[in-house]
Amino acid sequence: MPMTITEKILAEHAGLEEVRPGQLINAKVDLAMANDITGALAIEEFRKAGAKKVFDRTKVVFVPDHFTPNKDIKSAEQCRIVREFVREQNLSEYYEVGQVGIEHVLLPEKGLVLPGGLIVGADSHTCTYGALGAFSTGVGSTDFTAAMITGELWFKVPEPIKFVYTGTLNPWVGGKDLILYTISQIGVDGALYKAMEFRGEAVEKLPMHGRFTMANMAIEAGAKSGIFHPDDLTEEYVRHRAKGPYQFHATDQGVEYTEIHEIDVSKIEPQVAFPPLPSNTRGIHEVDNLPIDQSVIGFCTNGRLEDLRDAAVVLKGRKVSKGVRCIIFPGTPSIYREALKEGLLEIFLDAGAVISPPTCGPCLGGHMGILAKGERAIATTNRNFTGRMGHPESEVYLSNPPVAAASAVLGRIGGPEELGL
Amino acid sequence: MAYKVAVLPGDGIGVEIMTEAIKVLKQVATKYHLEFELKEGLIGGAAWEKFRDHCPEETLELCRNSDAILFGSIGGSVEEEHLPKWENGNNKSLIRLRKEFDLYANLRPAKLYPALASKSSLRADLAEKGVDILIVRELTGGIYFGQPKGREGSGDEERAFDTMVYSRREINRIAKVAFDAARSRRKKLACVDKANVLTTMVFWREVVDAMAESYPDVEYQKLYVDNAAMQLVRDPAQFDVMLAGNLFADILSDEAAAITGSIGLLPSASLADGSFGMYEPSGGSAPDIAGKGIANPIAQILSAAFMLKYSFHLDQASSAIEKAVDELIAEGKVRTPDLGGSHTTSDVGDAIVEKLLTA
Amino acid sequence: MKCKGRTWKFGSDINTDVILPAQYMNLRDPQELAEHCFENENPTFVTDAKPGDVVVAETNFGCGSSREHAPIAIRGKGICCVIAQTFARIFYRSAFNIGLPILESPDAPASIHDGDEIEVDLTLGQIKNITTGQVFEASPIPSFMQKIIDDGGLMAHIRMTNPDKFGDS
Repeated sequence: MPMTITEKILAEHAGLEEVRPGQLINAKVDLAMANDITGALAIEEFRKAGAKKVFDRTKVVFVPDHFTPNKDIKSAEQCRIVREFVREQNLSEYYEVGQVGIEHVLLPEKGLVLPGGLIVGADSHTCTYGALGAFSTGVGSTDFTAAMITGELWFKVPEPIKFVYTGTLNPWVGGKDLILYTISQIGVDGALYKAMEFRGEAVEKLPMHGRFTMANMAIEAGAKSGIFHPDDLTEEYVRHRAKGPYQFHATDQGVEYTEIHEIDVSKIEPQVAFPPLPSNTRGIHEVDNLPIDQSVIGFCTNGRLEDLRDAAVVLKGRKVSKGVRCIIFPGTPSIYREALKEGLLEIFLDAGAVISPPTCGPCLGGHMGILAKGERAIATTNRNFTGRMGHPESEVYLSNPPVAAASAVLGRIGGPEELGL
Repeated sequence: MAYKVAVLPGDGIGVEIMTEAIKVLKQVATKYHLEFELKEGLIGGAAWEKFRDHCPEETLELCRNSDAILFGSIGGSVEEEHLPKWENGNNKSLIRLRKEFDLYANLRPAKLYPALASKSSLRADLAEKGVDILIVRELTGGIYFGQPKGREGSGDEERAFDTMVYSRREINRIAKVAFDAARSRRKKLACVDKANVLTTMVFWREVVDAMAESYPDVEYQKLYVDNAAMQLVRDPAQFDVMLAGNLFADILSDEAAAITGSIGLLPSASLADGSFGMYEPSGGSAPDIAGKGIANPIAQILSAAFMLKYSFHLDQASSAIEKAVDELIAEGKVRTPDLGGSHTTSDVGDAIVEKLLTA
Repeated sequence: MKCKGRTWKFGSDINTDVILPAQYMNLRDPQELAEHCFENENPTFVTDAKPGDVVVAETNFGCGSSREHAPIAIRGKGICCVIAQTFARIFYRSAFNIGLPILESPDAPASIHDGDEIEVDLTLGQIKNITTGQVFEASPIPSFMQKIIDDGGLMAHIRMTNPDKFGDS
């Protein structure tokens, strides 16, 4: 029977010849990941259950990125719990503040997540690694603990849903706009429990950073996972970083998809997701006068070097509008350093923006830029639920980096074209 | 970190038309929320007056510290050509700058404005089809610079020689500029060479042919230069981007400009790798009308637009200026004497600024 | 097992930040978390919800984050079960894993209103709106998930299947 790329990966990790959608399987995980928040909870579960050791000290990773550098005493305690556990279990990969980055940017950078792999993470945006042609999904702390102990987890094989992107991208349109547009078309539960498969000439030409952005938001459509077919671009990305073997899989001919969506990207302009859902998306030209108080650029969705370069192109020679706070969140220390070398940080500083250490910070209302009542922010993050970045009566709009940067200059939501670009 | 521009007005009308280009740039800065750092330097005769040097070190240093050069025009009147102030000025300044900054890609547009069709040397029906050509000229290589170059022998056997030589690297880089330009325009590229006679040109064609494979979206044709010259006067509307080496493009770009009848309106760009470039009007310093306030600043303003596009990637801002110029010419209300009007240099600058304001 | 209590009704796309605002993610104790459950969406929930009460919602309940703090907070408040038309999948798993019973019912939520008295038989999958007298059948829980519940949650379940990985306690 023909299988999709997702099914092949699941079958291989379950030790089965083949799997069908709906089937329950037990699969071995190549990597189990948690952050400071979910990790602390999981470690408590681990102890409560009386477990002794993790199944493999090289395959369990904790990335303290949410409330770090520690936002308060309770957060510091959570990190202490994680740190002690790492030491006790002698885990081989751990990243302390100074080396730590935002998990979904860091792990691919470190070559810990690879094509053909099966990864679970105690963070909903773990689906990001599907960009590399891996099966990767977010789970709760208890599932993560189970995987930490046994090295495997049960799955119900998701139904496949295919998205075919054709045409040529318009200026200033990238992965973020494609995924926002897609979610606006199908809704925040439009891919509920399904495995999204991103295909078509437009995504075959999409560079890795755009693929990571798209896969990152698969969960925002309710999907179990989102996956790209690995190709030359993938090879180029993983070749020198891979910390282990990797494998390229591809969907067989003749597979039957539950749904197929065809999207002509040449009709897509930069997108802005209005609160309170990522699906509440409009084209940039449909945005009226919406003044902003804050613009935050980076994060796991758009915090890679190419994203920062895109923002720098817009901010170069310009100033952040008076009264607007613009904060940049590079995804990892490496990216931060490269941005420094390339002169991007100087561009940001000259523009009057602030550069944060790599952290999830304000994305989930943690720290480093929380909103007061009545404030409005534009963000390159992946969620804009009510109260997401602070006061329940604050608003978050989602966009790609060039739009977030242009908005910082204009003092209202607008695109790079309004700045002559 | 504002956009840094080295402004070199030069001689003759250069100073007056540059003033208008700066006016337009300032309006662009306001409209698009950006900052230009405009620093003036001396070049040509003006530089010689102060430094006894057509291209003083001070000017070179300014250019090195800038992101782009906005160049006016240099040169004196025909009568004064032999004076030290003007002698060899071109070589000493323009060529010097091109070599210093490796400005190997010269972009020369030839555009016929329908409202000015009467000035064109084309037959009416040809003019009506329109002319909008971009000639991409390799500027730092070829026969103008190839070695050996010299004279030897005596009497009847005395001989002089130049060398036409191009490396793969030189051809590749200019071809890429041409293909990229075609891609951003009407997606047609004509490679002009003499591949039936010259070894260099056989090689040239080979290398450009290979690059064409990477641009399947661009319609690619090849012409011998003699045919190209004929086609330019026979049916110029067929061309979008034309690519040629230094010598051939030098000739064809003047021919193309001449058939539009509006050489005074045409800008040009000379680009290096990366984003650095020098932008100047195609025309000269017109010393006979210098200081009279009647010089046409449009070529200088469009050169600034080129700069916004090629050095600063401000595509929208660049298009906005070009659109404003198109409209101004089409309306025919504000024109300098060279176009049959009675307005001043400053009037034209103000009108463009006004259009940008209200766009 | 049966639930009997008051209905707390919510709409569609109730996300985990609504259930438990992310700023409290440095808390882990179920009782502490419960004190902030739904605090912005319905401030009376924290003060008035009683053990045995039931949360009823429309589609895509629990979407957003994978953070278990959300289902833990609901269970910590003593909510007996959650009924929704559909659940977001991570929340669905996590609820079973931590022992918060949930039922999927395409029809029931539309006919149950905030404040209605409700009775739920989790074993039979039957929902009774005492206030209106209507009765609904929920979609059966997959037998695999039922096994996890019967074993006492995921951790208890894997203890049974992987005894060697656990200490004597």
